Amino acid sequence: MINLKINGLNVSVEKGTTLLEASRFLGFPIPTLCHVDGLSPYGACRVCTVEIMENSKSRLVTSCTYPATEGLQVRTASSRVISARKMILELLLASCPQSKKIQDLASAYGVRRQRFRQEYEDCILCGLCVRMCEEQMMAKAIGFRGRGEGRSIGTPYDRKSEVCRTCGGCMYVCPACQLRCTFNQAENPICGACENLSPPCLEKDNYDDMMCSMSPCLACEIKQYEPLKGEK
Amino acid sequence: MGSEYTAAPDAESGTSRGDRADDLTTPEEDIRLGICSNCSNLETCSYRTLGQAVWYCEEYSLAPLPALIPDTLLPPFGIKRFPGKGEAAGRKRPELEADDIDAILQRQGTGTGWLIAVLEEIQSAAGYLPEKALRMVSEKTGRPMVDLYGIATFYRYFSLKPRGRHTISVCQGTACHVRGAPALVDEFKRQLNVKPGETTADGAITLETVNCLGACALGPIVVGGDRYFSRVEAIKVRDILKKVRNESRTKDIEGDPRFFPIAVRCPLCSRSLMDPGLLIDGHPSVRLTAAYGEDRQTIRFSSLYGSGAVEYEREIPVDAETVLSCPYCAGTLEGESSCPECGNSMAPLHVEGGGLVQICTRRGCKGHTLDLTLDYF
Repeated sequence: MINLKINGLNVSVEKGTTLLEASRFLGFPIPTLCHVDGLSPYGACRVCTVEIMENSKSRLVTSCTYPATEGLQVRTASSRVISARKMILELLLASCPQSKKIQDLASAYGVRRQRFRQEYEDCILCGLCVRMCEEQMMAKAIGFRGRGEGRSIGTPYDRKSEVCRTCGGCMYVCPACQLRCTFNQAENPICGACENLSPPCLEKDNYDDMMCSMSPCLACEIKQYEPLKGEK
Repeated sequence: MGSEYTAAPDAESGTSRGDRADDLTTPEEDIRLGICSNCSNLETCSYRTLGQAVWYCEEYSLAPLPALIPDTLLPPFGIKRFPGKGEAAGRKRPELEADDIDAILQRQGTGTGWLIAVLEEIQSAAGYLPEKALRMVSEKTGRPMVDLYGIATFYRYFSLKPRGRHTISVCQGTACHVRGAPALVDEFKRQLNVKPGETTADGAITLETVNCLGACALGPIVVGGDRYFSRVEAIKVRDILKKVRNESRTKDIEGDPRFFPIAVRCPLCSRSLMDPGLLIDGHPSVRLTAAYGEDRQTIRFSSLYGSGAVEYEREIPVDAETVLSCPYCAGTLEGESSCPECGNSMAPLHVEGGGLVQICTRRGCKGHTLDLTLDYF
């Protein structure tokens, strides 16, 4: 057993446990996009970032890939972690704003602005579908292709794969495939909380089929982003 | 290769060219005149319409089929046969068969890192990674196609498309970028009419951009073929392309049926002009004396017909007309005909075994004629 400290709590976990598993086991929530139980950890989305103390120095690591080590001090929700996650979510919003999962997380973390060049990618290259296809479906029909800017996921030569059984596992795990609700607004980088229009909760019944991220509805709590003191 | 050669009966039957224009010579005349009778460039060939005996033409390089010369007209000395009809002119690499893949896999084994080694070997054999070969590797090793494709697209070294005989890489690193490398790429794109990563239609040159060649102080850097060009400006692009193309030409001479060695004698004293002591293009050179103004020097020609390579002792200005003479009898080589390229006078030389070759005396002109129907001996 390995003894470590998570958010000041002494815990002992089995060898080989990742920080994500240990934290979730204790009930500390860590958001993830590229992690699904049963698939190998990959560390692509960086949303599960936590702060660890190593040799009296603090460092940010992805909890899904970092194994628990003896005497490690972990903080899953320090201000540094939160601000890092907000930045990561902002970057994800810049590339793939139509994903419901990303919008949900951004909303949960109070990301109210997106300062980067807006793109509308279909894919955040988290590799969940590739791992699903290989590890759970034993097919290896899709994989990563190319490098750097030209990296993409798909079949060889972009042709229908002969090993694909059209199981749909790739779409099931995809964090970008589930589209967000845009209500009656044009697509904007951040879910503008359309329900924030008054009256927020009286007409709630009308939005039942909207797959709204805010459950329970907190629309009336959400305000437009207000610059902090000294911020322009 | 030679045993499959069936040009003469095919040309004689004339059935393959039923749609020829009437003013062109008949296949029988072609054979008599030594005109490339099976060239697919029948309609636009200017040599043909002039009825000239031409064994090598510039337009030929555009023709998909090799120009075939009948056996009866081939000189009797060590000539290379022409490839069979379906084969391209010795440039196309053979397709990889299952046995070849087996052999490669056998050589590389299946230890760590075998996959990249196997792909490297396939690429060097075929010039690129054919889909068929990748599928064969996948089948034989059980490695999924996705992995092979992923590796093939990840590394810049690998190419899924056939590549040109030569690659021009334009550095796009930071130092080269600020010194105007993007403008260079535009110029290459304009002159080659291809985008980076593409190959010209004639399969000669592949244009590429690279991120850094590690010689930033010399930037912008362009690698053309095996040569590095430093501090390149857009104005030098044409020159680079010319050099790369020429380089590819000398490399292609070997095995190219349009280039064959000839041996020549002085038409005046009948002494052999061949100099086995100095090889050009891998064959004994032709030694002559060239006079330009007051200056007299020994020059050496390539004895490969069609190569046009010349070595001078001292520089002679381009386009200057020289007087060629025999180094043994000192007689001036003067002919009656004029160069088909520039109209200057030509120097006649006797071909051993019968025939007359005439070369243009103007420096830099590659104009020449060859007539093997004349019997001087």
